[in-house]
Amino acid sequence: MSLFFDRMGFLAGLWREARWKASAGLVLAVITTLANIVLLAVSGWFITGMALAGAGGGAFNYFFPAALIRAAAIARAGGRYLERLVTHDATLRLIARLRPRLFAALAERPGRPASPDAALHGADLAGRLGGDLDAVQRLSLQGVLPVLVALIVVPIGITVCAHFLPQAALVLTAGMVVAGGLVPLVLARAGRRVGPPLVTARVALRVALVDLIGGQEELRACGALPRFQDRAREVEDRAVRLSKRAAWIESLGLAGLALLTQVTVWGMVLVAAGQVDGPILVLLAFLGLALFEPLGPLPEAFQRLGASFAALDRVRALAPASPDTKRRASPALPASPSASPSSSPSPSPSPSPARATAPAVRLDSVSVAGIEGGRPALREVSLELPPGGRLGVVGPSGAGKSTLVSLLAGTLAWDRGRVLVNERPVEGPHDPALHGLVALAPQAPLLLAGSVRRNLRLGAPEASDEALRAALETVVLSKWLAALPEGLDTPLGAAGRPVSGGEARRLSLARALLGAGPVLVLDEPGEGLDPALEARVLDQVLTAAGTAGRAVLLVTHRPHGLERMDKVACLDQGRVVDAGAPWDLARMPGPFRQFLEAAAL
Amino acid sequence: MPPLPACLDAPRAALRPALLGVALLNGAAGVVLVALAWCLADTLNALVFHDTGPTPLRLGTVAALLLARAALMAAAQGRAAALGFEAGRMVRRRLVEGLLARSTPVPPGSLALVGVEGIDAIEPFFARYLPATFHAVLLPVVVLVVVVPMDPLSALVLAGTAPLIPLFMLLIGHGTQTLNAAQWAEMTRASAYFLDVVRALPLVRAFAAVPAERQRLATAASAWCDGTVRVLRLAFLSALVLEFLATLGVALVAVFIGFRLLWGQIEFERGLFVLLLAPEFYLPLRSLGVHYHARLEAQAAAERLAALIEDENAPPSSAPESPTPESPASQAAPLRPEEPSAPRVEVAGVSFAYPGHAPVLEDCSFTLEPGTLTALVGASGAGKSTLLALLRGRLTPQAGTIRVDGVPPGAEAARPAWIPQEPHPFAGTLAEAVRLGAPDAPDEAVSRALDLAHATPFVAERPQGLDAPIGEGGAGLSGGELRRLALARAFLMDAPLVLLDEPSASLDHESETALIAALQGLRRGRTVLVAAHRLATIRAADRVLVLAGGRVAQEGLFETLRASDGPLRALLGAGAPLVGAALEETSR
Repeated sequence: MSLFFDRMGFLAGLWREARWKASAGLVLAVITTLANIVLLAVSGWFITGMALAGAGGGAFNYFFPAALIRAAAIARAGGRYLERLVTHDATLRLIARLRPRLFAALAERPGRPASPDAALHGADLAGRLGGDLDAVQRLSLQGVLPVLVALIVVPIGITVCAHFLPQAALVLTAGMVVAGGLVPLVLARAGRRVGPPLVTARVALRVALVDLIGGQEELRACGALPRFQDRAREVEDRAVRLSKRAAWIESLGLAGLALLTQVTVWGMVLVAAGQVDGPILVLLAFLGLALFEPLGPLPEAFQRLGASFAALDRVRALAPASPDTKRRASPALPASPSASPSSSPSPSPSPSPARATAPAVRLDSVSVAGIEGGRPALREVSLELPPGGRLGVVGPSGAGKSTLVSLLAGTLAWDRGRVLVNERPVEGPHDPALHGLVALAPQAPLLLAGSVRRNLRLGAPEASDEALRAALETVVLSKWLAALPEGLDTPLGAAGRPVSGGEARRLSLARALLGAGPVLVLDEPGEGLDPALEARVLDQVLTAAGTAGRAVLLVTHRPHGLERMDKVACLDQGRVVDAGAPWDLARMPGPFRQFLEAAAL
Repeated sequence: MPPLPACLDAPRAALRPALLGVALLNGAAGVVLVALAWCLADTLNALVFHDTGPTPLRLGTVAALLLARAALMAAAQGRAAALGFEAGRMVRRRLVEGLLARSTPVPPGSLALVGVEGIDAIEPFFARYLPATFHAVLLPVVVLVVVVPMDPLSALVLAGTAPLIPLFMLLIGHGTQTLNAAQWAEMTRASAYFLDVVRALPLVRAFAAVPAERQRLATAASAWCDGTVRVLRLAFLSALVLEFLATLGVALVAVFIGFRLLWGQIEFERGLFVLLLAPEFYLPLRSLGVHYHARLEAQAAAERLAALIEDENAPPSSAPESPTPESPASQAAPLRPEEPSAPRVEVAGVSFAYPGHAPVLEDCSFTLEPGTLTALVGASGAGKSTLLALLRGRLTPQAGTIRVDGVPPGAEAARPAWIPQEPHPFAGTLAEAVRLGAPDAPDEAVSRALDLAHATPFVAERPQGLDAPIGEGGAGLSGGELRRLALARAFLMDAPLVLLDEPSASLDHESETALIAALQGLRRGRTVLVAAHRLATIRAADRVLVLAGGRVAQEGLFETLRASDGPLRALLGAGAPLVGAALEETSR
């Protein structure tokens, strides 16, 4: 239960900054709901009053109820419009504020060597995060809001009912308690029984589909395709069966709610019969009918509660509710400038001058544990990159190359050993010494949705257009740029100009060249380029780096460019198994020569 | 309204009876609702004007009607949901069929996303939106049919305002529908921008650009908020009109009835009854608006799905389905019969081109002698993998013949074992991965196959041994280990012809050594063809075939070919200068 309050507290914390809009939205929602109740109840009273007056030949002052009905009708329609607008506005802004905060919080968390590709980690996270934020939005609009409205409106309705006839109010209360409390509770309970097996079945279905489609060629070759198709169908049947069962529970809940509504209204009518005037009797019946309406969204909201809370918990684990609580929540973090992203003039190194004083970087028997007790990603790795030096790292996938890159990029914590910059030990990924140390061209050449300029300027916000053009020239993209309709302003990515793998790779290299970091880290720079282009691009990039006096770390599984390194190191299962000058190693038997031989064809 | 992608047509047609069934249940629930409204009106009338309470019979009827209505509602709801899942199943099956028939590789990752999450977006369209469209027609008709004889004037009001709703919605709607879609796109885009930056987070961090990007994100997010709210202001207008007209309709009915009651022109019972029905008349129209987003979501998801199955109309990749489902070694014969039955493979004048592309192979001929190990060498794109696909019967040549011991490939008797460059990590245990082609093989056979593939050491490393699970995506296995498992699979299948596609990327040292050793075991009594990337493999081969220009340009022993000035020399020279130096040393 305290967990429930924690969650609600977190949600309330999120909403605190938007409390005026949130309150306005709630007030509007309450007004709208009340207007609906007034509309129905007064209509019933009005009609009966008119009928009695008509039958008895008496007079009936219809001006007041008619005006009330008109006002309620307008309040209902207009209120609903305003309420939707205000609550959506508030929720959108909440999410909009949450996003940069989440982003900053995420940036502070050092990654784990979970996936061989650090970028994949980002993609994974991004996918989940998107869904989670949607869930938080839904929880606010479709979960918390209806509950709050019901909690406010129902007591008002019951009080009005009690004013006319306490016995009827008793019946109404009983109906409300069962409908608003018991039914959702039973539903949530039943949902919990079906929920976990359903989740398992859905995961199994996804796995079965991935195996069937992703492994189809092998399955065909083994004659196992029909077997796997059958298996996928079985898994699918199970998932569909469980989904249907969960849906039936929900349907029963909805039908139960409808039944309760009618039973309560009939109960009220029977209790009130003979106790009150005709018009009041009808008013009470209509009041009962209308009061159940705000309960309508509850069963679905309650059934989704588990999933919504799971999403909320993940967001909660990432982001503190407000900037203040954040600092209290994470005292463990070293007081590095990146810990408080708002204090932005952190030592983001000014461009070119920093390059002149390229630092010496040294790894002293550094180890990084694998995920969940798997093999270590790096084992006692010692490497040295002197100022302006060039180091090549080769090895099979999974050997620890990407871990090494992430470590220098400051996105990964190490477990043992020392990382030294200018012979000063670095405390961790948040140490300022690692901040802006590298200019990275990652293994997956990530492009952001935006213009060419925006992409190139990621690491060099001040770079001039001439500098951008020069960098594109170096990576043999001048012609490509000239052919772009809007030049450097051309948007790239899904909504913009499509970019081929090779173009993305070279843009990523150009971005690294422009970046301020004195150590140029090139992770698989030749991937996706044909050999001739690969040789030319690498040659020009290395020459440009040399002119600028920058150090280079070339991580690759291909032989090109290694001949221009001062030193190469072979990684295998997290260990350095061979290291030395490339031409020396090529001429003697050992892992590096085996690597070259394997790369011969 | 934008048209729906065609891939929703089939389930729509197939599920029409079920949809009608749901509509009928909903209609029946509507009829019961009308009856209940009559009971309530009649009872209230009796109480107000005659001071007589309901008879037990009346109460019994009401109870029965209430239960009937609850049952009908539950049935309609449940069946509608089931309908959604059925539709999801149909779309999913179609997607799987389409993906299995595709001639081009499936974009990785797209399947999991679209196949599971995408179908989630299609289900509500069938479960909610489509039934709501039926209901929006059916219930108003039921109500009208009852109201017309009861009170023609009210019926006139209802019938008069009802068409106004679609009309007004159409008037505003023409803009609003597009705005609705625009709002959808806007919200998706705002979230996409955020996710884009999160995806690039490692890079942003490396460039020390976190504060700048955070600022950008905040600015962009609040700008998008303003834009979205502006759109919403208009988009919600259609709901406002709907709501307003519905309210107006009910109010008009109430006023007309009220005054006629005052003037004694209508009985109370009738008036109350009609007034009770009036909101029900508009309710389904209102809920249709609520479910409209289900249509938008389904639309977007279906478009993405359609993109995945679009080339299903292309000729079915000239791929004959495997003729029989049974696997060759399911009888679990001893691993290698004493008498070697290695086949002779004859390739004569084979040409092949992928549709719309230049030919990959042109008049390609060679023979693989029984019991030999042949290395197939060529630049990337020279057609090595295509040749392996032809040899295992996955593709059929446009010209020429391929015979495995006189039988065309793909026939059950000639089915070869094949190991791709990157074996797929099938979910399950290690034993299951090995048994893929021989599901009934006994444990001893599996162990022997693992031994032959030099895979026993890493299997023994795991506490659960053969029953150790392979995580999703192959977690817990290195590329080399996965390859050794695939090799064990080939040993267990015990096919006399083995086709290996060597990975171009290097593997961990242990695996490299193990695989070379396993290759020696494989050639015993089998005919083996390796699309080779390893010098060690090529050296171990009885013969090297150099594929260039769509045919075998050179063949012979590696050292001989290397010494002569030919395509292989050119191939080796395509490497980096360091490779040349290394090869020079090795040949000494």
